[in-house]
Amino acid sequence: MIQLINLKINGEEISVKEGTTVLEAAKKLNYNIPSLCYQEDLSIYGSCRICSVQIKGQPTLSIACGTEVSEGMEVITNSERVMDTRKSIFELLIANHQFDCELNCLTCSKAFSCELKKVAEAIGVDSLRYKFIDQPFEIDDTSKGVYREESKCISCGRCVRVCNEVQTVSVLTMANRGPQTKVSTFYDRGLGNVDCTQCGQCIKVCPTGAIHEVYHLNQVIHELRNPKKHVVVQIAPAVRVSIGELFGEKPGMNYEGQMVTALKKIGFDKVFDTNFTADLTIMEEGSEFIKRLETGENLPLITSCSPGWINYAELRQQDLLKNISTCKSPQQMFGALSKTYYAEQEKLKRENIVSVSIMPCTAKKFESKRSEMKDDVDFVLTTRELAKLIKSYSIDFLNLEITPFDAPFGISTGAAAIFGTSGGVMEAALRTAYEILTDETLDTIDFEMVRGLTGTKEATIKILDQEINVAIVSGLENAKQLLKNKEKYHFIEIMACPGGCLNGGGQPLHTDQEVLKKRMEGLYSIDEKRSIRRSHKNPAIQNIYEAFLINPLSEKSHELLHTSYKQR
Amino acid sequence: MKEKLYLKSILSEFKEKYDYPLFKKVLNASRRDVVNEIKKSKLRGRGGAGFPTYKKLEYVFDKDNVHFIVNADEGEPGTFKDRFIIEKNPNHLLEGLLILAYAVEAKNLYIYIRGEYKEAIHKLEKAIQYLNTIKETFNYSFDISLVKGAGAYVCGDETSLINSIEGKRPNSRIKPPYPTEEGLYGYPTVVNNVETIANVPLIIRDGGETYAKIGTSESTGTKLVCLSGRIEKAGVYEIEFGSLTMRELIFDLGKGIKNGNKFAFVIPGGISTCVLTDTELDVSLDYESLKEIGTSFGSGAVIVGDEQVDIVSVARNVSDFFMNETCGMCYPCKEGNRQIHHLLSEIDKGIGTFEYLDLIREISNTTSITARCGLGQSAGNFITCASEKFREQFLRKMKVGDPID
Repeated sequence: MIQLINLKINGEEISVKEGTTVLEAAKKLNYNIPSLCYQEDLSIYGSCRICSVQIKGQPTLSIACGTEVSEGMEVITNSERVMDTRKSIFELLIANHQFDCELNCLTCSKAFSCELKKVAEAIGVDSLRYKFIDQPFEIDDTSKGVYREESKCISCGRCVRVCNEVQTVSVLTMANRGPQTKVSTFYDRGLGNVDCTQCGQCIKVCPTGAIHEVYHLNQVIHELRNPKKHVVVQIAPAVRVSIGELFGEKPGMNYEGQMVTALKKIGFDKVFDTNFTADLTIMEEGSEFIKRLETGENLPLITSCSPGWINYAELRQQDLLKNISTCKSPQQMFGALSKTYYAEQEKLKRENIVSVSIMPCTAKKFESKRSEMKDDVDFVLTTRELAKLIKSYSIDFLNLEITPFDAPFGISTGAAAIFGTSGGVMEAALRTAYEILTDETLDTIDFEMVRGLTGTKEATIKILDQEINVAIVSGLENAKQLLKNKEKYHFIEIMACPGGCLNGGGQPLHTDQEVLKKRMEGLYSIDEKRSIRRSHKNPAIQNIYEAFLINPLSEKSHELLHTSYKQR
Repeated sequence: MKEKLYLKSILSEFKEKYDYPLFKKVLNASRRDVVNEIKKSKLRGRGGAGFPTYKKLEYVFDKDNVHFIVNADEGEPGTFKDRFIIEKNPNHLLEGLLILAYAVEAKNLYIYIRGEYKEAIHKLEKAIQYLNTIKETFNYSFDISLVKGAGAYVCGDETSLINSIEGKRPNSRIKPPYPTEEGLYGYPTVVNNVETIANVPLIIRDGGETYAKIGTSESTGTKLVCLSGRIEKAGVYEIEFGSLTMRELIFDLGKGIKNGNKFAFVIPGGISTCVLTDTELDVSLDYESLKEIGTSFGSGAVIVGDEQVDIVSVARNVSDFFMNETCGMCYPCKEGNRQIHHLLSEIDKGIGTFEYLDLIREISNTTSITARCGLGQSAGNFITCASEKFREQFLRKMKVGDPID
């Protein structure tokens, strides 16, 4: 039986379940106690002390996030003592930073989403009396995807915890003591020189601008200004349902048409859809799956779309490399086609084409720079960088007309749209594999059992006489656990980020489960509305096989659309 | 005025081949009897907080798989009593540990010792080695691990110490759960200071009631004090609680101020305690009397300063220590101690202003009510106290032209 606990917060009575924290109980009474180190879904850290409250009978203040309610407890969240103390802590914290125009709030990566500003407002900071005490701050620019600026770090430990607890990659740690305490990596080597998967989840939880993606934005603008360059751009499935958030819209609304218009106004020569190569991935990967199923070799097949997962596998799960699909990710398939097939069609020289991608991902930046990928994709912008780009060209995004994607990489199916959510690649692959193997048409193509934001999902599908066991897992700790029993499955979809690309490291920040759910619903609604919902029925895909690639897994396909992995 | 040689006398009876007679004696009694003796003795923790020792034993008495830790990470500046105990007679500490371990049925015993204590470590290692050879003679199995600290002051805090043994970063833990509920590796754990444990064999030898007759009603037994600073005869002294005043300790036992200089101040219990002036020296040395005048016995580090000592630079030095020794986790402690250090450095350099003292007091107040652990909560005690009691000396260093009143 659930025990109810009665307590008073600011004199108001409330009953909550046993085990509730003071912070959660206060929220039920609509008191949002400010905090910095607290983050839903991560362990309680208790370093910022901003959420300190007065509990009757306690000589010191208590932290609301780390204190469980008890019967008869009397909590005051807004006394003079509490409020003055919060201000005092905040002032001390700010004095850690060179909080002036040199470290400008206008140019910061979190200029418009800084939690310090929100907390300052919530606690009514009205003066900053302590001086900044100079100390050396370093920049970690060793990684191709993730960039750290120590000068803005408040050592709240959220990045360390998400890396240790959610991803269990554990490349970030607190180091040193006293004023030298900081977030660091093994031997301070930098993120590029340790087992960082570049998933970017640390960016998503950072309350300040201390961690952000490695920007490609200015390089893209530079290329756009060069008249000799033909700049093409592709947009990943998950971007369209989250970009609106950065313009004040609700999550889950589909802005693909406005994005095409905006990018054309900005000067991109062609705006294509990564969904096209997502369909192509299904053709290749689906065929690969059928082949492996027939030969029984290297099963289970594991998906390869998530570069964070690929990095993880190459660094930490090397015995599985043979199981991973050799298909390049849709981004890289697109890149390869843009500089071969497309170049031929348009009679352009490879060196004059600049291939840009817009991704919900930071690991994609790393992926594009891999030697195997031969600069097929030149630059990768995150969803956040795209919003910056649109804003910096003074475009009234929300009021734009809708423009369709350009041919020949503009037509896509519903199956491709759902690549952006955990379970989407599996569902798309099953639709195609089932119909190709059975030569039948599926009555219902909605595979509900593989859907949802749950970290680990399983399903069994009967194709002909064979029971096919599949698993869908997102978040690297979940992946690690599932892979211990990989023999049970024929096909596994793995996404590095919890929930899949819709929660990627390049997506708009400060997301909770509700936001993710809306983005997911947005993607399924795109799928539902598409007239074609099976990748193998995409006419543009059929065309490119006829005209260029011949067959899935053909020699040409292998040359352009497949890759290999190596132990790192 | 003389020392009370009680603990010290048993410490001087060191034998290399010691067969632990008092431990053998308690093995014939019930566990409950042992706890009762400790309770009757009214022994309080000697690490600084003065927590009744029997309570921790009671908390875990009915729990399974209790772990026991000796806190020998003596890091408080000016404190060297635990080192004294271990170097003099490591067997005595081990005997106290075994008695308490039996009382709570703890089999996994840890001694977390300051890594710099080479001599003490060496002696303890040898003593444990011998103890292990005679293990079979006891009707009680146990396993003692000696863990050497790596030099972080914060490891003296019990939950940080537990994290350190577990191989984790020594941040303090959020309490509750207290170590007696969920401590080392998640097991119920008792952590006691060396000196506390060293009193246990005496209690067993003489009986709890007899022990309780020593000292005052609230502070029973004796205390080792570490007298240092500008004092003629520095060293470890054993005093009976309530039997003498601070003045007697300094001027009788310690033979007064070095070179006949004039006394200026004394820090009564380490650098987290409030400083005393000449007018406060007649305070009786026991927990309650010191508490009454707003300070405490702390770890037993009595540090004396004479007129030639610049208390402002002592305060700056203390702030330097806390700034560098905070684990760096909670903001008020990490940033607060840094700011205090910065403000005091400026005052010391003569470029501080009058309002700095208010800021220091405010930071100290904030830290005392919001820091995670005892280190942060008490870090400002000495500094704010010094700046109030010796305000003149601080003001004298202020920038010229600033108002003094």
